[in-house]
Amino acid sequence: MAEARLFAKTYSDVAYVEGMYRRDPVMERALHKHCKQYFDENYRGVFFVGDEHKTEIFQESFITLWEKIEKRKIYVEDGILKGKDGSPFTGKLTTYFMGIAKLKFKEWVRDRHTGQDAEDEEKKRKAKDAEIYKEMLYDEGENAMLEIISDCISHMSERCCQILTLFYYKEKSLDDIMLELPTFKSKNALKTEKYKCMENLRKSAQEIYHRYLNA
Amino acid sequence: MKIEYQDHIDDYLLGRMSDEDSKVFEQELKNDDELREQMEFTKDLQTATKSRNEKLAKMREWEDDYEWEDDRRGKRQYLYWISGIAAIFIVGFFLIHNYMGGKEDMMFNPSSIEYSTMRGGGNYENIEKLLVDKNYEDAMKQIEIEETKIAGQRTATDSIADEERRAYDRMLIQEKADELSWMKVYALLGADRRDDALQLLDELRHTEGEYKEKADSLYLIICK
Repeated sequence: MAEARLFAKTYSDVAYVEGMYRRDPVMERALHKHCKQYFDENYRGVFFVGDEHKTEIFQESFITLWEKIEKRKIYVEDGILKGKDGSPFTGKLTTYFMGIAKLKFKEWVRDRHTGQDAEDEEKKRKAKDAEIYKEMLYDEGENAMLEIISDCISHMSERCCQILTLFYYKEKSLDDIMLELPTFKSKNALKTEKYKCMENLRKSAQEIYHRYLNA
Repeated sequence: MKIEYQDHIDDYLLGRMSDEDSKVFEQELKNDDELREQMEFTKDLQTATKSRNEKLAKMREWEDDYEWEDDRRGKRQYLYWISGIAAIFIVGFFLIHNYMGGKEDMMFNPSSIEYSTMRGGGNYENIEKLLVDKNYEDAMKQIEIEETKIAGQRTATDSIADEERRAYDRMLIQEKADELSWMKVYALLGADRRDDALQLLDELRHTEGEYKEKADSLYLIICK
């Protein structure tokens, strides 16, 4: 077990997906390494980004792939790897992963260059991407909103990310969060900030929902 | 979304509500669409935050493992290089000694010794320089400082959970310790503390490692 943990091997796409779905730690790590190696070797052919942001895009893409497997958006049936609407995968898992990475890169660029493009150009681009986003990132299934919220969290400000992580992931009380984030002088200020973060997140999620899924 | 609802929703979701209050709240949820919608959103947010952070934590751990593996691979290659070079020197020494100048008596002079201290890095180069300059007392002090550091590193390995990694780190620390002992022998000989040097050499020649054979040869030469 220790040997496998230290030296991840390469497995078939079916084994990776099945292992990830079963939450096998060895397979989780192995797929991470497999995707990382593929990403490092190929990302320059897909987009150009510095080392620091490359890691960020890789992490976001891998989380999306992982959640898709967890939610059975990608799954194994009768030894065959299947995706949306139960149709078999035609390409490799790593190719699919790079597709997600490409979209994450587009999101990353948009987050940093809002207002720089002409309005009509932006509209055209959004319309073109809408179908791809619908295909790869957001499905019209019952958990669509959860999927969109997961994506929106990755675009939140550092501040909001800290507050919501401490509150909902680490389950800390507002008093304890104030000790970790001393810039908040009162509990009410922190509570208001948390509420604003949630409100903004909800607005973004609803906007995406209507743009891509009700388009 | 109403801010006044949020406290109750959070208390309910995070299990901070009494059973009685939970029942009242569940009743309110049934009758209030807006509250229910806000509750669903908060639940999704909580699920997404947990899922994301758990994954990020695992990914960070793996990234650290990869870095350590790369580092270990690099160190291994480095050790192979050093071992290869050392082997060439040893074979060369025996060839020259046996066929060209083997009959001369060997006179020991500490300051004429060349040390292979590459693994020690900058600190050990200082010690080497002090020995070459015949500044044995300062060399001794420097060696003792390094020995204290090594003792600290040795204690720190106790807290490493990964058994394989702990064993590997301890092996490297032991090699450093042996290297320092080897230098200390020269410093002691240079400072005319022959008995102390012999005692240390005796320990070294009975310790498995790179200096076992060297210490044994030197011990026999000095005792001759």
